[in-house]
Amino acid sequence: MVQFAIRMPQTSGGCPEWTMVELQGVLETRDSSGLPGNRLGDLYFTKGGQPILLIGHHVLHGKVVELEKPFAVLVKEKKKNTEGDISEMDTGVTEGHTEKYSDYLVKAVIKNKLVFKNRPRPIINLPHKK
Amino acid sequence: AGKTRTLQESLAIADQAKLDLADLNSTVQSLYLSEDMADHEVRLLELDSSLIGQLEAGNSVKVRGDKSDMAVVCTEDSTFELKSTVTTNSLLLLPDCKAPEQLVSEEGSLLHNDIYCISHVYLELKQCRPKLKKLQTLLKENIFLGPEYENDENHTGKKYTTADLLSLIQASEKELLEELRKLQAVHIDGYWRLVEFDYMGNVLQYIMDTVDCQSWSYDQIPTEKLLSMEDNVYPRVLLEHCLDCYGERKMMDFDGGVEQVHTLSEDKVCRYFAEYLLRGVGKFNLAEFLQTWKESVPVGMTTTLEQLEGVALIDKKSHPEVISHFPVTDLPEDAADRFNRLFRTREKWTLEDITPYIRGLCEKKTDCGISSD
Repeated sequence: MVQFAIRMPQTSGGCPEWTMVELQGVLETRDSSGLPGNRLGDLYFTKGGQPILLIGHHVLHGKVVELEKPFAVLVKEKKKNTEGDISEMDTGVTEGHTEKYSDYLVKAVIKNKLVFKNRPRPIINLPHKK
Repeated sequence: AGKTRTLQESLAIADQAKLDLADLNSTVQSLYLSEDMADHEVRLLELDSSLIGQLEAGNSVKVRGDKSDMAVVCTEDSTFELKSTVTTNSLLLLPDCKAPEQLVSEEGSLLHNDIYCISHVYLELKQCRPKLKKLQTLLKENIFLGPEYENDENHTGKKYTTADLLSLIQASEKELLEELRKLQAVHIDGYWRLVEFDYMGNVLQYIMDTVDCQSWSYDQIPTEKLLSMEDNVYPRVLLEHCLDCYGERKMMDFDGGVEQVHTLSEDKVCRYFAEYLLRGVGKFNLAEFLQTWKESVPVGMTTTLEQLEGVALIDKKSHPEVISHFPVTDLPEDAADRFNRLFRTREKWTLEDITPYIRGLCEKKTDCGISSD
């Protein structure tokens, strides 16, 4: 049987809290440069605390939702192998009878999300991209 | 591309979008997909508040699964099924995003925030019953028959410690220990052992004979006195185990101080004798059984039909009425399988008759709502 642990590293500041932004559908870029590194958009908050996202040609109005069930963000622990190198021990490394599976660490918890479910409102009269 | 977005550029778009700038918090957060997003592999796990508490306190939770089973997550005392859910939504994870109440500067500013990664999958937890049936199978590999047999050819099977069992069984430690208690398993030399039925009966009989001999009462067996008697024919650990299985510990006041005693449970002792009779024969004429049973239990103890719950079935429709051995511990663990077995055994059940055999199926925190028939 496979057995591994999930644990939260005990640090002085406590576990970091991240935010989740939930958007409908999948993000695409206009050009073929791929996603990483690009600016996605700008996030505003109204004075009343409502989030507004400007992405590309769209205006998305959303709301802040406190999660009934918070999320833990888990990452696989990097373990040292017997030679002292740091490597990720992946599934299926069999040493005799026991299979070693990495533990997972809680990198952060997410207690709130910004949900954008409203229909995006297109921005007209945008200047052309340089 | 560097992070070159300026506040001015942003506000220009906001204006074009016809946002009411006067109603906006003056800090804008510009969101960038991080450069090494592809290396940021995470799993999102939905937690309930008890789990967060345990993790924050530094306890780890265990994930356990056979390759063929669904995986479960175990805390110290509960078991949860782990389910992967795909969503059509995009879930963006932002480490540094500020909430409105944190944006308190009066002047306008623009912050650059990275998006750590984007996910379309998350893991859900659903509390469930632990999967404990395997425990009986494992413990049957080496059943305890008495110290004199431990080294014979029938006792070469594997023996299991608590840690061994936890690495093989999808249950929390507390649930495992509770099941071991229900199976009346004994902890000898660090290993959990099932005690052979007849051997257990012999130990019980010895205890009762000793109580009679010493003119003690079944309600107040002086624990330490019994366990430390010089010529006990059974090992101390088994005597103590038997006392705990068939009785309860109590502290009593005597002249000279407080002493621990055991009170034998009439119900548990009578149930043992019923099983002893039923196991041998399987099926009994009810009237004969009730008489034999009454005569076999210790003087002063009374047999009642309630003691047979989960142990035997009475067929009132046959002539003469019969009683059969039908222990709940032999039934399948899975609810559907169990119901199949129950209805193969008997076409129709009254609520009263079936309850002892399905009580253990209830998921935690839910009611066992059963409609009649």
